[in-house]
Amino acid sequence: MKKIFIALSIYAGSYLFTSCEKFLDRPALGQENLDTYFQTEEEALKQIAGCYQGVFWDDWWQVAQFYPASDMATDDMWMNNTTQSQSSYIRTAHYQNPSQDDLLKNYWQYRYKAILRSNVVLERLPESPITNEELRERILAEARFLRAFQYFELVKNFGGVPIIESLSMPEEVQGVTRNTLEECYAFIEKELIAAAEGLPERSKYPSADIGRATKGAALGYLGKVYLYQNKMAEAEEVLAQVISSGEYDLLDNFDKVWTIEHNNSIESLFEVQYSDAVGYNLGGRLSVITGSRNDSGWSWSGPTSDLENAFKAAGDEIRLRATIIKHGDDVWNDLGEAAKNYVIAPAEHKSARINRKFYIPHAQRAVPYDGNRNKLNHRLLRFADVLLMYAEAANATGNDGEARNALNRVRERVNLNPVSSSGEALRQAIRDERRLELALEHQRLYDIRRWNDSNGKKVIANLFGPNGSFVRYNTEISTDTFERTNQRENSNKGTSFNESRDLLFPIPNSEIVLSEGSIVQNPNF
Amino acid sequence: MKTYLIIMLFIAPLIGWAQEQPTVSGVVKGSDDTIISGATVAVKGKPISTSTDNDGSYHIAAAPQDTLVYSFVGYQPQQLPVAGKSTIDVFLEPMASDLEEVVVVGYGAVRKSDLTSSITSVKGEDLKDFTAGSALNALQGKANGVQITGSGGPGASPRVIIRGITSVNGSDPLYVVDNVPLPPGTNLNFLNPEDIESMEVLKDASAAAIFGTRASNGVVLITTKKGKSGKTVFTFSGSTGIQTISKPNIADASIYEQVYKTRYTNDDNEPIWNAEDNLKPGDGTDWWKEAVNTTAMIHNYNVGFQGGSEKNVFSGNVGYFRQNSQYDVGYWDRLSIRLNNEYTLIEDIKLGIDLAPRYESWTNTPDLYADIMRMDPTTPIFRPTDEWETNVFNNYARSKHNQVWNPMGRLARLDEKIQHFALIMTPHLTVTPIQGMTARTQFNVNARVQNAHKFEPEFFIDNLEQGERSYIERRNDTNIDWNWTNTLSYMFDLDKHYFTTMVGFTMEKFSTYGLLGSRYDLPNSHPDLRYLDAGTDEEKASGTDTYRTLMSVLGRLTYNYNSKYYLTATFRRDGSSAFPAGNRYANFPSISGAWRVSNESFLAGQDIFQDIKLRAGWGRVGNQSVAGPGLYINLIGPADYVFGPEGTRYVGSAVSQVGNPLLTWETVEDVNVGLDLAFLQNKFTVGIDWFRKRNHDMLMQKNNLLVLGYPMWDAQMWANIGSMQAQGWEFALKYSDNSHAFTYDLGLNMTAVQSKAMELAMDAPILTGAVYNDLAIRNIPGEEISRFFGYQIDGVFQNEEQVQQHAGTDATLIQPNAQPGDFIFRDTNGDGQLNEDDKVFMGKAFPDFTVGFNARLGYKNFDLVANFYGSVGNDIMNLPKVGFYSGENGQNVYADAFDKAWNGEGSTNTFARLSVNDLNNNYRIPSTFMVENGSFLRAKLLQLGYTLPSSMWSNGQLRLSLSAQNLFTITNYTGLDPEVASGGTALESGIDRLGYPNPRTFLLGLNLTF
Repeated sequence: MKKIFIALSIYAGSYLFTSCEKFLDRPALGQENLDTYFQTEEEALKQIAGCYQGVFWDDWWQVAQFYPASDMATDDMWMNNTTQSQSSYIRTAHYQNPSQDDLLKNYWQYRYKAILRSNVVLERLPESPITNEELRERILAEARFLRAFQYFELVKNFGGVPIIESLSMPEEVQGVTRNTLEECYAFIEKELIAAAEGLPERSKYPSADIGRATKGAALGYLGKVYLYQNKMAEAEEVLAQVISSGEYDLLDNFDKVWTIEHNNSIESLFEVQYSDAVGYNLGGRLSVITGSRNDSGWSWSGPTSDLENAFKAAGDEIRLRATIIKHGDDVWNDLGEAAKNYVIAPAEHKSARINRKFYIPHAQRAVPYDGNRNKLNHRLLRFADVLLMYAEAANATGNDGEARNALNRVRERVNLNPVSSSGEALRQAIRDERRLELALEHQRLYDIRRWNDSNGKKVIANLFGPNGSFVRYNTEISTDTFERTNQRENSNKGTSFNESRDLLFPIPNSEIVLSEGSIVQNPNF
Repeated sequence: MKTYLIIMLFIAPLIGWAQEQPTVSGVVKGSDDTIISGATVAVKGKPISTSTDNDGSYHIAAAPQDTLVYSFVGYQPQQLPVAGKSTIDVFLEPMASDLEEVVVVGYGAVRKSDLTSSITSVKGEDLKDFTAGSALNALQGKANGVQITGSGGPGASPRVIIRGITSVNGSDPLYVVDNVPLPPGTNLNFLNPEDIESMEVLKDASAAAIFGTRASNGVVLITTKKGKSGKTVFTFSGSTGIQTISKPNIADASIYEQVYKTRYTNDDNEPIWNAEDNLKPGDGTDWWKEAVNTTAMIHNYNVGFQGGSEKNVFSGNVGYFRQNSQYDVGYWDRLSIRLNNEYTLIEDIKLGIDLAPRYESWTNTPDLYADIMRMDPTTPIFRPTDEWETNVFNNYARSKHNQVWNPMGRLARLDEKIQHFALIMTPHLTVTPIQGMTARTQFNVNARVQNAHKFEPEFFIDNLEQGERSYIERRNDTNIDWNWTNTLSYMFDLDKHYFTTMVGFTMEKFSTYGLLGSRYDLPNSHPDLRYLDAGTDEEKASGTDTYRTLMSVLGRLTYNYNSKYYLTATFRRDGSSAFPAGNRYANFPSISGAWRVSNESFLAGQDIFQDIKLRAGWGRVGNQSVAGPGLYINLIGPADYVFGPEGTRYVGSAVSQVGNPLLTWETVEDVNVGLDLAFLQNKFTVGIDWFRKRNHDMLMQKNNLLVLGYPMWDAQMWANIGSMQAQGWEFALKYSDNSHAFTYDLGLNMTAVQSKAMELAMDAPILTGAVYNDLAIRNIPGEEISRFFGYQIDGVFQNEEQVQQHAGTDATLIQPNAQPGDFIFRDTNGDGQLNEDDKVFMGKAFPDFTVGFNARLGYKNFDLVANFYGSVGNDIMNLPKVGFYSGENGQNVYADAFDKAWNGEGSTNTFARLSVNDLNNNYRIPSTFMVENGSFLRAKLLQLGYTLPSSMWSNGQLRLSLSAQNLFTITNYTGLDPEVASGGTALESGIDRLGYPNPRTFLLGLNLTF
């Protein structure tokens, strides 16, 4: 019996040992494998959808909160919330060196995470066995557009950044350095040109694909990229293409621009798509982030009286009421009871004003309102912007007639008289128009950083700094009771602005440290 | 396999002369009155000896001036002068540190005297006095080479480090209970300390290599109590007590108001003050008093029996343990049963069945100490009653001045609990086909079901303190692990050459089956509705299985020549599922030897040393503790988006893990040299070991550059990135004696080890220790791990002149934002700017040495047990201190924060001014302000016992005890608990994050045996 037992166990042991490879093969279950992916059209389409998600991500803290924060660093917005710790935003809003802040680190991190998604598609889809070549080309073009978008967002904020074009192992990026601003822009231009070739016009997409990148979007962004580099002739040419394509037009009424009913309107070149689907984090968060604390909002960012004055000086009532809600006003175009005599408590809000553009009328709000199910798509590029960019480029190349036509198209919609000036006066009129038309749409910071004033300095350097006009307005001239009374956010915002430092944001400090200095910080941070 | 290698110890014949003598006779008994037959009785200094008969009696020729030496295996030898007597009855005490003790080693056992490697053995008896859920808490300070860092809280698992840290990848040793290796991350509190017969800590690789891939952090072998043939013994033990935590010196509302407002006025800002002005001392809410109970109960009860006949031996125990938290919620209790049986079927075939069912119940203890201390004291617990709503959770007040959530509200809402049901079954069969050969097969199933419940009510206190929707979650995790262990051992000797061989084959599978269901929007918070079925929205389910497998062959050869020269060689080959094909197999050999100098003839006849043994060993062990399966694979997860005119959800996907295809084991190579001494009739024993462990191909989840875009947070990826080394020595001294009515049992042990990072990926330092968006810990290649780096503070600017003088060579200010009252940060490199390059070494998280002191003193029927544990030379980053002196973000402060803050020239040079903006970053960057000496000596246990004299009750034994655990701690550290604060991981230790402190506990105990 004993011998039988021993023999049996030796037999069993040796039998099991022969099948040990199988016994030891234990992959992760319930998850798909990237290396066997891209087998079907559906898989390719799912991956590119993931790339789109990376444009604004699925929550407020990755990249979305950064957009109002960038407006806080301009003359259009206060940080506004004066009841809470301001530590997340104050160093960005008041030019106090935010290099250690999660705000910037998250933005940087999630832009690169989105870039990786595009890189994966661009590396793996060409080898995919799918047979629909047209679809393959389109998806590749979408990925290139989205990657260019991501890099443009980085370059706008940080200057030249490392260009990563593949899924790499850590040792492959050891000692990586920042590409120059010129290299980055050249890369973005190349990608957008290729994307524009591969992407269909908006009208060629079936209805179910609304929201995807289009040829118009690629050209529109290419125009902006040229404009930011002061390549005015190139900008003029490519933006003219967009305008003459016939794909886009202004909505007839400015009130409609930021409404749920006019998501993906004729005016839209590119916008973040939102859904009220339950349980999937597919809605927009900026309405809540920028909303009044007295109406379920977080009140991060609020328009300045300086911006309000700019509307008034232009006689622009239509856009003022659709851009700024002020404490005690009835909210324009919200018929709900709660919108009457609207409360934006002055003790809790620096300027007692909030952004009307992201405000959602009570009847259209998701329930619960904070549930990340709000359907107001976030407009990233719209036709009015294209017209104004074109006007700016045309003015710079001396085509003032074309410039005026484009500018006056925008003014006409809001019942403002046509501009007839030319040269430098026209340039100023276009800049003023840009501030009002695109107010609080995250254009201002990058405009005032790139524009030179007639005294040769950057516009932003004339606004901020100890003697900046915006700083002096708030500390000496302003008669706005709300802003002057509530000093929980100091009115001297921007006094610490430093021209030799603050034309860019700092790269997150952790990245400098981790790279052992091969990634160099922007000057003077 | 269990090979009990029993070799009789031959006491070297005493050399002398024979002579006619008068005779002395008597009886030798054990202290428990059992008769000892075969005990040696010898005349000291003469070649005369005899053995006791079956009835314990002896006769020996001895002169009146002679001294008799009585000795027997397992008992302390005794010397008694004849002094002219003709009858001497002797009671021998069982030996405390007996070389005859059997020590369990991997897949077998050896006599302690035959050990060639470094193993510390602790008996269950020595773990029983300390009342705690986990035996590890009791082990602290009792085993040299083992550093145990406790953390408070019911059921918390302490950190165990054996001989320093050689891996960034966790320091947990492998726990093996009755030959069954437990999965990584096992909280040893599943095991009732009462069930433990002995714990063996395998410290060096020559001992641990038999456990191969999982042994790099050392191995803790636990043997549970087995039956013994003989009279059945029943035991009852119970202890019950109270735990307390000292209240920190937190400010009341009036001091808080002073600090709060001064922060603003110092910066020329108007204070945002939302409470009444001019509060008086004692005003406001004492959050600590409200939330933290002065006392919390702890209970521990056990009923056991042990006995058997020749055919069947059995042992059983039923234990109940309960520990409450210091809050109204939060406890852990455990009902555990163990039944170990072994039947002799027919001659040489034994069948055993060990069964250990268990039920545990936890309600979660909240992590609230930080919030309670930081909460604004001007805020009441509740809103005014006229504002109350039917949802009671809405009635808590919002903090008026900071972002801390109302701690009382959090306690009221907390509803999280876990139930564990578990059963460990181990049938085993032992066959002895021929003399000296044993075959053993054991199949173990360890099944655990965890049923977790979580409910979050809907509530609204403020926009930023609300739960928008009620939520219910049920998680069911089932773990089924099985383990099949087969060993064959053969023991033989040729003349004076003794051999033991063992070969084995094991297969192990660890399976986890997860299921999670959740829903939102319950009708209300009524307890009867807190179930999944009541949820009305977002019905969700998720779950997956994970499997890990391991297959191994192993072997051991031990050899000794004449009990003088010993050699042990072991080998294991492991195949593991954690790694990609091609990297799956690895070999783990070891070899060790010993020389028992005391058995050499040249030392015969001396009676100073009873044992002198030199040991040396080398071995290789591994570590495969990566977080999960498939870490070498690039994975995809969901990433949904929206397309279409109606905003339709579109199911998307994106890369969710970038895998490392090169992943393989980490390997630790280890050398150990040791010396064991026993002298003065075994009263003193000393063990000294020197060791060096070196890790190669260290596995680590490393932060990578964010530009890589990895989906993992901070681009973390598992990789074999480097090498670490732990080197040190350890020392243990024991002294046992008795005289008259006194007994002493004293132990002192010390461990000094330095753990270094030798090579890290790409030779780059690994930075950890997030402190205000900076990283305060640098792990630099070639240097000790977990060291603090930050800015050196050179006092406080007392006036504007000093601010202006703190400038570089070109007169630009080093601290342009500074003003009087701000810290002076040293520009270490003198380049005129303050940046990363100016950071200096500020302290280290790991101690120079740890020390344990254990005493057991007896006088007549009284006994005193004292256990001390200390840690010397470590520093702690007292991070909470920063907030409690700066009042940042409106948090509450220490009561002396206002008085200590700088308030004018000459007021202080150690604390900065109060400031709301803190533009100088006084309290926002890691600096020497935060670093304190973390050394401490803690009175872990003081226990006074009284045993009822046998004259009062002779049928059994009754002992009553009174004990104090963590009674006092000698330290200069100013935070809550230097022990808890010193915890952490290999590369990130010693930063105080206000964890649950170790409570002071007073207990009343009763032990009954009959």
